[in-house]
Amino acid sequence: MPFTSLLAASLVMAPTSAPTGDVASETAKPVVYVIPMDGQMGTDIHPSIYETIIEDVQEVKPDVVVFKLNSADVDTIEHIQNDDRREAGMLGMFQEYEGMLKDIHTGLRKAGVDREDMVVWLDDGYGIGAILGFGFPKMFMTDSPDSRFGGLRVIQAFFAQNDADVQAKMEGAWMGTAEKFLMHGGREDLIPVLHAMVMPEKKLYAKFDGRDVVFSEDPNGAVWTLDSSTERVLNFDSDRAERVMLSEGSVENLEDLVFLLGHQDYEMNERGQEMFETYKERWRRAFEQCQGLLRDAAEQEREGGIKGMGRAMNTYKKVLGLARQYPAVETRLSRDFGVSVLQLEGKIKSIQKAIAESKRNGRGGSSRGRSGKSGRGGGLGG
Amino acid sequence: MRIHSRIKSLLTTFGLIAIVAVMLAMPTDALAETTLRFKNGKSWRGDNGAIVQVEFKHFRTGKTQSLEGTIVEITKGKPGRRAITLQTTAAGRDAREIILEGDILSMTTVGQAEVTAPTSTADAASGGSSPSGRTVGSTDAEVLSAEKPGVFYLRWTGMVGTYARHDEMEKIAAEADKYGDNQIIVIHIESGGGMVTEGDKIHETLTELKKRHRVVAWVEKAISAAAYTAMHANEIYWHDEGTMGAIVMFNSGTGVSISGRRLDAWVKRCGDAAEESNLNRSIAEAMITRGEVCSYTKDPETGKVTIYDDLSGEVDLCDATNVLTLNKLQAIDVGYCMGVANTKDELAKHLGLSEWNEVTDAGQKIYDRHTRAIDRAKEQTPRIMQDYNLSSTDQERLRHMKRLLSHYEACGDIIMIVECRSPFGPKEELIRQMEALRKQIASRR
Repeated sequence: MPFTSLLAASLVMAPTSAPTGDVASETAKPVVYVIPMDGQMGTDIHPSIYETIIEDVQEVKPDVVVFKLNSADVDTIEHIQNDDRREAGMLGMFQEYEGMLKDIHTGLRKAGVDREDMVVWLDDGYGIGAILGFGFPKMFMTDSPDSRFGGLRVIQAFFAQNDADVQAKMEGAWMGTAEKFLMHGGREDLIPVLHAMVMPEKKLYAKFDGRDVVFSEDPNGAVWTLDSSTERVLNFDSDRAERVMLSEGSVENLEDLVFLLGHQDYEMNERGQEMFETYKERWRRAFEQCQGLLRDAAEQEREGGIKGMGRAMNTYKKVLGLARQYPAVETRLSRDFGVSVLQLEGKIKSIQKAIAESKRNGRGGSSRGRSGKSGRGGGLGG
Repeated sequence: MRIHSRIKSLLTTFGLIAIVAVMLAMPTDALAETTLRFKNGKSWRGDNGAIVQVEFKHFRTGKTQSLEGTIVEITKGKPGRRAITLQTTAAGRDAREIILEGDILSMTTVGQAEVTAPTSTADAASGGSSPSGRTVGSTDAEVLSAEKPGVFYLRWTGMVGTYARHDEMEKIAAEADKYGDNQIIVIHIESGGGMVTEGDKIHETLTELKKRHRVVAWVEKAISAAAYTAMHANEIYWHDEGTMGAIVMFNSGTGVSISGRRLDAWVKRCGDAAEESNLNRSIAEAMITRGEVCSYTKDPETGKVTIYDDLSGEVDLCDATNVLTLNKLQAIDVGYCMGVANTKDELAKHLGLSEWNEVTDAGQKIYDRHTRAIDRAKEQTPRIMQDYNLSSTDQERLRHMKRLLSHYEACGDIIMIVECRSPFGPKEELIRQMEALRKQIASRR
């Protein structure tokens, strides 16, 4: 963290946080609750886990809630395109993310968390996940050249239309949805920033109203020109974001961040982190298991016979169970293998039917009727 | 003594009428559900209008049979001796089957048919209501009074024409009508738009509704046809994150927007709708096409806003490269937002109520019933089609078509085609194919 920022923060914050005595300093320790938003948007960062965590926040009633965002679709050497595209954020769930953020804010309100104490800490936000950087009243970034806030041009994918009026409609509608993230965070002042980060034709300037920075698409009275290009979108690194006062500061760790919020000491509640890590680890393990199971099922189907089919059916049932248990598994099965829950159900039904038919044919073809093993599997040739 | 008897007689007259009126006005859900208990220990709980799948032992043949249909009556009587009347289809025709409780092996609810209950004694007598849903020939005695001032609240979410429709608005209006004119009807809008044809119906419904009630739009998301809907309200309030606009009409098949006379007519129509609700027409028109631009100037002293249908104002709302989608701040400035409310309590204050009070829970029930039916149909249709495609006999296929038919009955053609993507198209086509299949089966016999 830059020394000047720390110094300024300590000078500004000192009066409010100065302890009045030993007892007061002990009792006034704020509880800080960190909620990770780490990994792939739509799977790791999924509404279901935040529902659980926010319920816990309501129980804990922390003083400060820090959302630590680390979600990047591409690494810092974008042009090499060496990233695993399967791990890129799910763009199609954009409206669900907005609903998730809305629910988070509703839950935090219920927990009595003051808006001023809701913070997003961007370790790295590049791609669709970066939209969450706009979703909270205060934003900090990690003090590192690899800490980014950008890549939001992916939202343009929603506008792509041949008809100019329809394109304008889609742009209006989808940018309206994107702006909702800012509204949830009480950051409507950043709408011009969002526009410049999504649409290349939008420019961005900064003016000052007293000591407050005002972002605008209008160059009149501008003090800084942030983006005068009509061909490129705007992206930030932590240094730039801090310089233009988009972020409240660049921090090296949580201590720095909490200090900048005006607290010299704090009590850490780690339950949110634990819940998130457990969830992430479990769904990813389940997904890995599914990949193996799908291979097994294909093999078992090839084995043929009632036995093979029965084993394949049971294997598919296991995959189905995991897909139903973890929406993230279902999402990735669909993206990576084109396998949906509905298709799994259909597969199981068709195998069941084939088994039943084989048995029926077997029985029909057997002179010994219903009894004995000889009646099984007779009709499987087809 | 004489006074006492007069009071008694008054109580008898008005009290009885009031009680009768309340009973008839009660939504069907409010009436007690029936629990049927079967010999095998299983049970079913529900009410008239439920679409059920019943497995029963036929009293004549003694064979186990399965039927799907809508319950039109459950007789009263001792448990085990009751009967249900099932409206079903046989050989493509409507048929009614009476099944004894004691013969039923299992019964599962698969949906809910639209049940139109009479809303007043006059309705019951005349057998219907006026097109607007108002009670025909209602008398003062039939007008209910709310315990305390409140609203009739309807959530209105999802695609316009399937989830979000004029039908539900009419249902909540019918509920409000029972309490007389000048009720507050809050329509909580969260929709990304939908069908133009539904927009026409919404226009008719809300235009009528505004004549007798105070219609309030509470905007969370009002895009396209939903923005057109919000424009019809007497008052518009917003959520902080609300958004409204982008009413470009286009053909979803070709992706081409309307032009020429059609576009001119649509621009005029939206402008007219806005003006009828005392909203600025330039703003509405700018939501429709890039051809309409607008800007405004806000006097820093007085706060007075002047809207221009060109770009001569200080703030450009939309230029020739985009169509207008308002956010909360813009909406406040241009008079499309009368206040911001993120909670029902906040909205109550704007409406002049001391607290949020929903006069009845009918709105929630209307919403729940409708969305549940669609959700269920959406979930079931692909699975039914899967079963249909895996069927090895015509009888099996017919059975799955019947299952599908029950969803058509609960949701209607548009929902089944648009939301559920039923490959059969309209209900008539499904019935025609069922009939053909039945004939095939019969001819083989």
